[in-house]
Amino acid sequence: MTTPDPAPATLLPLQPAVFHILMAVADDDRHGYAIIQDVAERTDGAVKLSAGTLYRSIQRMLDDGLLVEIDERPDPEEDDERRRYYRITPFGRAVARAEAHRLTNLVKLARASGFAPKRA
Amino acid sequence: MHRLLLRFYPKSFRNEYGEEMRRVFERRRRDAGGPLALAAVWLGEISDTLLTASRVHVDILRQDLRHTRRSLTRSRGFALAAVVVTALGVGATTAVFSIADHVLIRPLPFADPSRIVKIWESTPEYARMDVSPANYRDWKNAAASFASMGAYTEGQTANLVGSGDPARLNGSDVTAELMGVLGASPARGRVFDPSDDRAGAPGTVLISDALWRLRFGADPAIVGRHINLNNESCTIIGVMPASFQFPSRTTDFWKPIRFEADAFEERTNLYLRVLARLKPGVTHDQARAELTMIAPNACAVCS
Repeated sequence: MTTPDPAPATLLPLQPAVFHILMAVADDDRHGYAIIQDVAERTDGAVKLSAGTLYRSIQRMLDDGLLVEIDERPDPEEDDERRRYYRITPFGRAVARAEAHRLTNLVKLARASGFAPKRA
Repeated sequence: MHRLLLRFYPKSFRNEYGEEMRRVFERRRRDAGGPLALAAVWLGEISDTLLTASRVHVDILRQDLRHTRRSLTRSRGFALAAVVVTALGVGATTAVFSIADHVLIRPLPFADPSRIVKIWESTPEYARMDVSPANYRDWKNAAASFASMGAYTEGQTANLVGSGDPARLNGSDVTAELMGVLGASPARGRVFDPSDDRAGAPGTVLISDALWRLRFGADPAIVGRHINLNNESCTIIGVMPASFQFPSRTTDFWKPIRFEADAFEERTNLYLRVLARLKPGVTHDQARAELTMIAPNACAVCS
């Protein structure tokens, strides 16, 4: 018997590392090192996930149903078959959207308070 | 080296992700240009491992607790039975250990307890019997194996009147030598001396610390006070310390044994408990042989 996913809001707010990992696998299935590289590129090197932080986060995300490990090898040319690839789940996507929504509202509030620049 | 570092992580986590983490570290090491960058990679890895590994331990503990809570909630009957069985087990273990601690592990609360022996009489029917006054007298006078020997009786009771509400007290009659055999000293006053044992001597009594506190309000001038025990006026000559609980924890008083002359006529009148302190270098077997020689019919044993 599978347990139904909880409401996405119950996992909010997400740890920054978790949100970054969800964004890294939003379009492509990736292995651990590719996630680290993607996050670093996406943030211009501002966020460099350590291996410990990455795999601790992945373990929790697998438990929470945000990711699944897949057997398919998405990039046969560069693939090392010992590598483990991760894919975002529909629930993971819903949680990422909910987090983005939460952050958007937060930025709106910050703008209203003058803590963030108004939109051009 | 990196494998050693990974050992900080829980085994299950290491088995699951250790290889991946090692591969990530190898890539980082390869990408580092120059020794300084390499040192930075190592330092980063060490500090990250120490920090993250402790967090992973906490994660796993939380996960286990969550799983346990869910399992117990799902089967309440089993959980209740498990709690009851565990509680009973802990209780029984604690009780057994408490007894074993006092009986087997802790030394007796007397001075040099290994040299104190209990002396019994043996009869054809019973291996261990109390001792007759006549045998006690003979052993005490003739045995050279012992530094001292004393006797007592158990199960004495007395009514205390004239000191507040009447009360039924538990006591023990003891010979003057007994406190010396046990190496017991009073907290106040004195213990018995041979003059207290004489027939016709004025009534004297030692009281316990508990009786002194509960019945006499820990009166510092208690020594010399007269009390009425079973219609006999007794002078309190001393208070024993709280640690002295002999022969039982409920003993309130000790009075001297006063043997009448006819007490020594009948050797089958067995009612004394006898304790003795072995002289240094004397073994139980040597003492037993000497006692048997003095009173062959009694066939004494020590334990």
